[in-house]
Amino acid sequence: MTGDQSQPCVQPLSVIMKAPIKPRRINPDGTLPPEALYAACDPNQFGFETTDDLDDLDHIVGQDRATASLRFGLEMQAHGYNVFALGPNETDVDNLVLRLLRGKAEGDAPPSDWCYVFNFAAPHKPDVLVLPAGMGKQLQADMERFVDELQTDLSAAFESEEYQTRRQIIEADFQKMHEEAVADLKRQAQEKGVALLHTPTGFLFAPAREGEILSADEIKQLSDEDRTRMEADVESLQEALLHILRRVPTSKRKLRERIRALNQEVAQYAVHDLFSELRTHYQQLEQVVAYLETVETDVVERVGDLLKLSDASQEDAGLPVQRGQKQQMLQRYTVNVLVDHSETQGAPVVYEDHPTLPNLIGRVEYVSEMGNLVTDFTLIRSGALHRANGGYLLLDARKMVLQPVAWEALKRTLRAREIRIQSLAQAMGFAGTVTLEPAPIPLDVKVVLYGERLLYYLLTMYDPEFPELFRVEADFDDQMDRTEAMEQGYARLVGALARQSGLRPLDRHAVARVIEHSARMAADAEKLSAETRQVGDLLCEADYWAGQHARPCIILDDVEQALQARRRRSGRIRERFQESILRGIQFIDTEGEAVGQINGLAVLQIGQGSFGRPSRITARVRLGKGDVVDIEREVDLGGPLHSKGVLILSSFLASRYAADAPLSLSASLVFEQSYGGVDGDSASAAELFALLSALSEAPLTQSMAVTGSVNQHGQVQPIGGVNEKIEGFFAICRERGLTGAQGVLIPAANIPHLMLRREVVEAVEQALFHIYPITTIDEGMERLTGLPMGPLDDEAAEDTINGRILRRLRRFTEMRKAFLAKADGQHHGAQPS
Amino acid sequence: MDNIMVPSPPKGLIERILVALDASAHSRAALEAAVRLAARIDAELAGLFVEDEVLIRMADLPFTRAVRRFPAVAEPSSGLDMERQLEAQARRAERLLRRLAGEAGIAWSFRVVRGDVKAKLLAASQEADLITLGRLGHSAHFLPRLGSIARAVLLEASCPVLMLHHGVRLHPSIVVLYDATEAADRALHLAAQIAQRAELQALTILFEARDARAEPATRERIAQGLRPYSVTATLRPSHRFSFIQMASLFPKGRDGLLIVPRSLLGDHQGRLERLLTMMHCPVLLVR
Repeated sequence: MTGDQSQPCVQPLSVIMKAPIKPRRINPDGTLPPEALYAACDPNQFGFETTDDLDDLDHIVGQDRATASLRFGLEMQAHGYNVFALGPNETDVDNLVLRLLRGKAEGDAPPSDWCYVFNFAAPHKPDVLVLPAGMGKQLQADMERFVDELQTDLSAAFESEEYQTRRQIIEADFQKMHEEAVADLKRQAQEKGVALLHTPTGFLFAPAREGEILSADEIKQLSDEDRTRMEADVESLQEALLHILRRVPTSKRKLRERIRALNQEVAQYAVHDLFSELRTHYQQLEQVVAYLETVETDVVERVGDLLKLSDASQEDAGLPVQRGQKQQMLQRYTVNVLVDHSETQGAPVVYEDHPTLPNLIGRVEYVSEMGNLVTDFTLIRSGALHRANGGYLLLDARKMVLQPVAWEALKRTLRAREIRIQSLAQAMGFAGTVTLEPAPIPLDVKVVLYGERLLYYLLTMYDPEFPELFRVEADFDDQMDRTEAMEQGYARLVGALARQSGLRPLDRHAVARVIEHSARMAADAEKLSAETRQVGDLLCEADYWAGQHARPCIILDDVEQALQARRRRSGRIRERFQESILRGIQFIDTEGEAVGQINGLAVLQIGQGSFGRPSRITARVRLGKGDVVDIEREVDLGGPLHSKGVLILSSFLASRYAADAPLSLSASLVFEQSYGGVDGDSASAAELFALLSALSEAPLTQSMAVTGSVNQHGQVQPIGGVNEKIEGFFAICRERGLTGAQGVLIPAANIPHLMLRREVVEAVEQALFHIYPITTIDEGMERLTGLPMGPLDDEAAEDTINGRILRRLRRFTEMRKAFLAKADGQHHGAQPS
Repeated sequence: MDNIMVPSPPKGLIERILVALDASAHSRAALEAAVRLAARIDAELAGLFVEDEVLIRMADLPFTRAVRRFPAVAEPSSGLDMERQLEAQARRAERLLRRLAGEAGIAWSFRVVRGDVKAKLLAASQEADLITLGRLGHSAHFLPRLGSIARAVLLEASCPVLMLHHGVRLHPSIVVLYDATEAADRALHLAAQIAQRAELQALTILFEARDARAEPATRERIAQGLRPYSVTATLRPSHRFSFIQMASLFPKGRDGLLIVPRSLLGDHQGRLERLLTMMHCPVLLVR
């Protein structure tokens, strides 16, 4: 990088502090040198100018445990070795896993295609066919062409002269049989003087003579003999006709059977070629060949219906219903390609971001037909599990458990190792309507769930099936060790993040600043945050500022500006708190001395930001029975950890100063002007200092603030949020004007966590502010009072804390004795009376 | 074979087609054909249902017995019952006519008369330009091959008669048998008229040419006959003029309309029967 833009306006801290920080030394006066306050990242260690010079990441930075677990889970073939990737949302687990899955899937072969076809034996249970990748579509196209050709071939065969002749012969035979029978009867009737006539519903026998029907008068004139004979003749002819007519249904059925047999024979012959071609093409696939055979049988059996269809198709006046029927009838020979891998490269990686039951295990759709909802095998739709079969499926665990029915279905499917499509109603057990039961599809898939850690632990605890099905835990760390190699890796990560989001590249100074911020996010100078989503946000914001300044790449200034702007955006409450202290509403002294009064430090977490603020802790002592009253706890404002801290410090007090005699004092501790709850033990050191001050009547300097917890031996233990706490007190002091005497006492064990803001570091450098690491209570007490602790057995020592305390305690003991004796005397004196 | 263009305005239009209806399958074929023809040439349909007087009278005779076809049972007959049956049949016939004519969008009328079927049909044919009759089909059995009434109408009607099989449809290709008689001239006019009004291209004229010397005269006569019409016709001379040759013009599956002059059948009924048995296409007989 050349030119002015590469010259950062803000001097990076690494320039202020030439040497790397490790190991962190302590000055002879007990303060921390400025370089101990901030672990800078040296931009010169990077061999690139901007992140554009860097290659894309080929691995996941700093997540060795999780990546190894994932690899193991993906390669482990045994049942139940599905993976749960757990980690905070901010670590971008889903993207990391997705990248890993895609990398893994690339090398695999694409899995089989799956098709649903008509089940000729049980139409409501569609059959499934498995074909090599890409063959599904081909079979579908072949069957579509088959349907077209089938119609042409059949109509050609059935319109042929040969077929028509054979059919006419059969029909003529039948017709002749009956015509002759009726003609015969007619002749017989004529001979007997009876006419046979046709009526709209049948026949009529009437008396006739020489072909002319007799009139009513003529009949009247007939002799009784003729009349009887004629009646008998009509009777017998009628019987004979009935006999002929009654045979009609039977012979009609026989006729139909003969025609059906003829049709099947012709159909078989007509479609033979079509099928043998298809069979040859798919001869490697037994399942398909078997399917084609059932199709052939069906076509031959149903040829009559199919012919009616092609007749109807010639008629232009086909009703919609007929068209629907036709479609339905031919539809049964089509193929529903449920999963098509003709375009798939490698194994499929499916991410389902809305894992409802149908989206997961597929569904059966319905169409409205004349007001009814109907369905068939062509309306079966695939779910994510179908598409991921033979590959990988990524699901958000939280979204998954928010879909209870789908979650149960997922587990059932993984356990059964087959996908069975069920509607919501079926899954819930209240489906009464007849619907499809598609044949189940064997399942071979790796499911990767990702989600928050808490969810994983809750599921493990409360869902007995969960640990059996998700045996691999891929735990993503929220931070990583800050080694030089890791800083190099992090730089590439930053570059990759910028590239993915289409941002400007970063120059190395900006990258170094991002890395430093990442350490601050991890609240540890020796760690880097793995919360890449937040890093990504920071890059976006820095890119915005780079854009505002029309810069081709993101430089240090932009990152700083982004951080400042963010701090300002979330700074309203912090500023209100500071303001109330500066205006004297919240009492905090930053100079002078006071007995039994100290500046403690608390951290407030509000929304995305957190900040420290000082708060006054006071202690009072008086004659008593040795109890330390924690006022916070008395009013239920203190949490259990705070109470624990107070009990520990009172135990320390008692065991140090009253190991062999009862402690004759009562002490009370309070967080002044606190109106909400207090928890945590990070104020216990401060409380102990206040108590020791009250006891020794040695004033504590008010220019310092204290943080740290204390154990029963008086050692100061590390606490969280050390950076925020220091900065909180510093902000107040700076506003009031730094005196050079001000500073913060922190547990020495917290030194590696220091990643303080620039202004603090600069003030320390100019000796305007000081950070004192302490390891024991005594160290801190001496720093706060300016007095030595002195030996514990020298009660006479004038200017030691211990001497003062021992004398004070003795005074209390004597007062108590005197008090008790007096009370005792009164008691004895009263008795004789 | 020559192609002759004859441009001239048409005359003697077919405006009214009579359909004899009895609601049976073969009368339905006649109706469908009539509807198609009427739709093509823009004619009006006149449906006629004749209630057979003889049947009604007979049903009341003391010895008469009725036998029902479905189911096959015997029952006493009565004239009243017969009248009801015929009325129902007439209503069905009217419904069918209304529906088919409505779908095709043509003008129609329907009339029921009682009397002797043959006489009533022949009387009605006086007022019509063309009459259609259904002929026996494969599905209708028990009846003689050619009903006595159909035969009578074919031979005696004063207007051209169209005969159809059940299941055979009217298709847009016309063949005229031409034997240079007056009836043949009328057949030619009718064919040309239908072809022109229906805008058909396929008009074939098969003419008798046993005597080669007479051929140019016949051709001239045909050309003369076609002159008023703007149709294209294909002329095919025939030396034997047989039914087999006619049949070859209409292979099965290729329906058309065959127009035959009555003169060609001579006086035998046998020739008519033979023609109708052999041909699978609709036949239009012209007097």
